[in-house]
Order: sequence, then C-alpha cells, then structure tokens
Amino acid sequence: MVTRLDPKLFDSTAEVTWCAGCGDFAILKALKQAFADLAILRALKIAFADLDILPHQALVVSGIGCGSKLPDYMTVNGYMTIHGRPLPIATGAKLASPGLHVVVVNGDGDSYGIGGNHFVQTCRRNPDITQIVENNQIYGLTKGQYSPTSDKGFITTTSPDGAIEPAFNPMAVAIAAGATFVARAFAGQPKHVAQMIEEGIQHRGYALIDVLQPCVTFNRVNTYDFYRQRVYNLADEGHDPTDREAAWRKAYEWEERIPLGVLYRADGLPTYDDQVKTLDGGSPVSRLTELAKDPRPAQYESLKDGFL
Amino acid sequence: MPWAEFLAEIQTGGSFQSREETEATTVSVLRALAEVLPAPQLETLTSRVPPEAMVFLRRTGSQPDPMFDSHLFLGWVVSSLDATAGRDKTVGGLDFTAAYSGEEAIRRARCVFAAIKSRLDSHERQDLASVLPDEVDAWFREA
Repeated sequence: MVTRLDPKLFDSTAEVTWCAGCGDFAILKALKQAFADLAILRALKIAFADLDILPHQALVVSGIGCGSKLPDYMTVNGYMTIHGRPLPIATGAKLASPGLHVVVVNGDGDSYGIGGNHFVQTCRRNPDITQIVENNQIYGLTKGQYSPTSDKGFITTTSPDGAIEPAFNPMAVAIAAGATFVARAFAGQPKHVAQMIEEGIQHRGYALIDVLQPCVTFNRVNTYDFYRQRVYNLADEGHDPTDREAAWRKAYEWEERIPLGVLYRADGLPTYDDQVKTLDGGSPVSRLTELAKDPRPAQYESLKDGFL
Repeated sequence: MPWAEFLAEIQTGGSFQSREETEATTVSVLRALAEVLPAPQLETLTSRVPPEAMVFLRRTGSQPDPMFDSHLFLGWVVSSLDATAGRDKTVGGLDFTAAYSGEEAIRRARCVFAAIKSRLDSHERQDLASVLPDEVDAWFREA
C-alpha cells in the first residue's frame, strides 16, 4: 500500500527566528512538501513504501544568512558551512555518498556574492545536487545592506544614493555557465515553489531554483505585492525549456514582467559524479561500509590508493 | 458604504496615525484574503466591502494556493508596516533602522477583520473563518 508521507515528518523542535511574514517560511514549507511528495513519486514507481525519501536519506547544506538557518528547522541531515561555501561541501557529500538527496539552501548574498565563484563552477560541473536560492535582494541577517541581486538604484544603509551596479542576473549566468536545470519561483506561491523543488530534485544534474522571497523587514521595494503584479508562469505561455535561446531571452525579462517556472533544462547529460573515475569501484561511503563489515589492513591500503 | 468611511472606521478602531497608514494595512489584508479565500467566500466578501476594494480582491491564480499559511498571510501585512523605530526583538539587540513587526501586524490585521466582520452576518463570519489558514482564523474570530 502506498501511503503519503506527512511533511511534518521533517519538522524540528528548533525555534524559528525568522521575522514574522518572512518568505523563508514558504520555502521551508515547500521543501518539506517536496520531500514528502517525492517520497510518493518514488513509492509509486517502485511500489515499495520503504524506499521513500526519509529524513536520513536527504542532506540539506547551507551557508550563512537568514535563509541558511533552514537546516536547523528540519529533521534532516544538515550541514551549515561557512559563508558562501555550501556548494563545494554539497558536491563533496554527493561524491562521498551518491545515494543522498543533496539540497543546498542559501541566500542571494551567500550564493551569488560570497559564493559567486563556487556558483559558476558548480554550473559548469553539473553535480547531481539541487540548489534553492532564497533571493530577497538584500542582506537581511546583517540588517539591510544591498546584495548582488539588488536592483540598480536600490537604497540601503550601504547604498544611500542607490546601488550603483546593475543587478547580478543568476538565470543568465547559470545558463551561460552550463547549468542543466534553471528555474525561478516566488515565495508568494508556495505550491509552485514545491513543484519547482520537486522537479529540481528529480532532475539528474545540477538544478538551480531561484526563489524570489520578500524580506518583509528590510526590503520595502520587492514586496509580495511587487512580485504579484509582475510574475507570470512560463508554462502558461508555451515556453519550451529545452530551447536554450528562448531561455536566454526569458532570463533577461525583469522589471515589468518576471517569468516563473523552468527557464531551461537539458536532460541526459553526464553529471560530475558520473565522470569521476575514482568512484567506479564504489563511493567512499560504500567502501567504508564494506570495510566496517570486514576490517583488514589491506583494504585500507587499497582504499587509500584509490584516492592518493 | 464609501471607501473613505470604511477606512475611517478601521483608523479609529486601530488608532492608526494616518489615512495612508490605514489604507496600506487595509489593502494588504484584503490582498492576502484574496489569495486564501475560495470563490464563494471571496464573492461574499466582495459584495460586503466598498466597491473601491474590489480591485484589491483579485487573486493571482484561479484557485487559492493550498500551502498559503499564516506566515505568508502575515508577510503581506508586515510589508505594509513601517518597521522603523519599532520594538526590536532581533538577535543582536537594539536596531534603530528596523524591527520585528509581527505582533503589530497581527493587531492591525485584527482591526481590518473587525471592520469586515461588522458587515457580515454570523453565518457568513463562520463560513469565512472556516476557510482561513490556521492561526489567521483565530485572529479573525477574536477581532
């Protein structure tokens, strides 16, 4: 019998310290929902409920920032890294234990600013991980400085005359750098956020889901209402996400109309994990498991030889 | 009832300092309601508030988002608040540029709910409360 996992399975007892009304709540809820729903899909596929995605089968990696507190609010394997570094940690975790569902959750500053280089390299590498960027266009935890995705002219404590630089365009950069799944969602539509996360996790390769998430305390420009008036769903307009040129054009839509949904996807390409020769004989975790069952010094030597 | 009268009632009930402040809160609550109410309740509400409010009761999608919860509802209301010089509860101590506004947002939402409730009969009030997200229904009932 196939049963539906309750997203509450992923609840934790930690006190949530986000501001009231923060868009991160919707992302947290959507992620729990996505994990629970994916369990259903897998169960339907193989008809065994014991192969659901359970908390121990997922790893959520974050950096520093309001949104990066998220792993603490879920009962799931969690790893809070230093600022801007969750992507390489997540890539390493996936290589070490390919069976894990590895999801990175961090903010626009952590991902596109401090971790900008890791972001570009991850797009190139195509590891089989999913990244959810809580994009509120401001540094909220440090109380309101402009971030890489703040629009030009955006006034904050660190840009009193308005941000001088044009905003970083994560969609265009991801497509240009070779990302194989590039999507955008809006925290005001949590069901759609969950749907995008599910598609991202199911995609084999690196999946970026940039979630427009209003910071209700420090960003008084990009509010729920601001986005509500501008967002539209690409699926409603017949966008073909496999058309790279069309995706490129959509990546540059902003201001008046903001597209939501999968902008670009390329399926069937080899992942980074597929191409690491050292993994041919099994992942480090699986080898350690074998070693634990039958510990012999010779095995340690062969394991070391494989990595040195 | 004219829009100005509706707002004046909310302003008095909630001790709002200005008409602009009152209107911003009212609009944010109406927009959040539009996102969560099923069509029948939304129609009832639309027929009870001033015609000028109808523009704020247009939903993004055809159906309410089932995952729209009290946090998201509050997000709309908090966005309408001026957080400057509020009471700061953030980690790190005093902050003169912004502050946690959740409790004030709930208070303001209740003020708008009170004005709406005064235009509904008891059956309509119960019907509307029954379809609101958890916690929001309590704010509505207590208003």
